[in-house]
Amino acid sequence: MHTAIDVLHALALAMLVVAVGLATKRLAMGPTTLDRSVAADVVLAIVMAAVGLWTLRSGQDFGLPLLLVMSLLGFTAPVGMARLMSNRSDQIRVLHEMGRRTEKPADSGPDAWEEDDERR
Amino acid sequence: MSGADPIIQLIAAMLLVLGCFFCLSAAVGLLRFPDVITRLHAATKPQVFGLVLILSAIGLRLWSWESTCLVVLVAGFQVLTAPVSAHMVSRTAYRLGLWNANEAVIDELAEDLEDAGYTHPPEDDEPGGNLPAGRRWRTAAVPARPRRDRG
Repeated sequence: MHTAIDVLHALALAMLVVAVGLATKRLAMGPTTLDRSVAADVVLAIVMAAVGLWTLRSGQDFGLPLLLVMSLLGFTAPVGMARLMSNRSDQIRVLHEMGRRTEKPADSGPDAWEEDDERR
Repeated sequence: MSGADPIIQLIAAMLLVLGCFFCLSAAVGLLRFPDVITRLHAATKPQVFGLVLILSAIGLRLWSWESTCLVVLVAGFQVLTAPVSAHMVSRTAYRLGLWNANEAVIDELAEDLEDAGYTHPPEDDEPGGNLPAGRRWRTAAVPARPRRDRG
């Protein structure tokens, strides 16, 4: 019985190792930063699963406060990255806030944003 | 019957293997899906379910009141916080246009934005991006920025 339990634990650990490898591949490969933030969240969740596996094997309840802290703080990374990415305007299109199109007068000098256009 | 019983340990080990299989399927889905928004499907649903299974295995193995309460608390926090992060990432990806408008079947956010006063913009192309086509939204509150004619 105990060897069967050990085999199951080893199988679970092998699956977690493969899952971390795949998520790290997406972390390296992801074309946008949001992909990478999602992959980092998945890596953290798999680390939580590994801490759970260790708690299961050792029989001590030492890892449960660790799991609590990781679940509480682990979601702040994608949230922060999402808030950071929603303000970027250099590489990707942003949310333009425009209303009605205004007619440009015939002879008015360049405005502040037109200098931005020239510089870009 | 306590947590050190071989039967209980076997059941906990089987639950653990099932939970780790779901975590593996979440990682595989993260690689195979084509888009940020579709990858969020894989990163949230099977992932959280796998964690719930592993936590239930821990609760079975440790077999005490305080560990069961902690396990339920961890599962509750995981269920509470995973949709928050997924929602924010998906809204940011929608606004930035990181989705394929040809492949998306239903766009429920479009009608809500139109009801709120955001109007669909007229077509204008801007340099700097070969991303799949999305939509950009504008409010009626802020006046338009006059664009210089790049004739």
